[in-house]
Amino acid sequence: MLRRWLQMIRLRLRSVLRSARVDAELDREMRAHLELQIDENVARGMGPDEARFAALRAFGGVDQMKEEARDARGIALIDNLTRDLRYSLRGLRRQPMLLLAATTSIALGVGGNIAVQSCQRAAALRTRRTAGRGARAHYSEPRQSRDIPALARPRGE
Amino acid sequence: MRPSDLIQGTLDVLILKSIAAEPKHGWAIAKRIQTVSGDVLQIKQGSLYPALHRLEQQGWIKAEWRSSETGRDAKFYSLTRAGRAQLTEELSQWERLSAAIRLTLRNA
Repeated sequence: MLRRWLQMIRLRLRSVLRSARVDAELDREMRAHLELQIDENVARGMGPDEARFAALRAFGGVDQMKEEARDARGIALIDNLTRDLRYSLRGLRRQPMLLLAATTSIALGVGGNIAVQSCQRAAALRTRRTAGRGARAHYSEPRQSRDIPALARPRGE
Repeated sequence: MRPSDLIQGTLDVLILKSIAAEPKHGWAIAKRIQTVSGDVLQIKQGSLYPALHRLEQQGWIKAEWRSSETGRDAKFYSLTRAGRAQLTEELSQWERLSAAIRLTLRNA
């Protein structure tokens, strides 16, 4: 069980980290398959050119198969993510108004949040500094120790 | 079980069975299945190699480059120990499944 897990992890890491070499190996395997098919055709009596031609014809869709094999190795996820990102960025660049609108809304949202929270924080500090006995900070959460006003503090943060 | 799962599962068990007796390279696996099935099951490279690589990723089979009977280099696949157990499991699942399908088709 453990050995199988280790083999799985090793293979997946290999797929991601050395994908060029894995592709090259797949290439080599495909070529070997083609050669074996040609050998078989020749053994069946075809001439060498005809054998090669027949084998190539039966071989169709190598690129699609490589893509499928790559999917099976699970690195398609990363490829798809980067491709989607690049595509959407390209699309946004083509529509400047949309880009402007999106950026402005995000900026307003984030900026607005920061502004409001800064004000709150400033108010809390001001209240804390001027708080004495019995002083109340109106925006703070309800104090837990109501019966000991001297120790009660506005809970600002 | 989706139709594509069914086909994929069948191809898996065919491949595992075909290399149970001795290691084979991809071409020989397809050839063996075709021969034994009386030319009924013809597996194209486009289906065979993704399946082989998936089975290898799952740890059921392992691969090794060797020189073939004809002297050419080829990538030979063999069953791992876990693969052998998986084969037994998948064979019994397949028996159950095909019996169920046969029954359903006869009586539905």
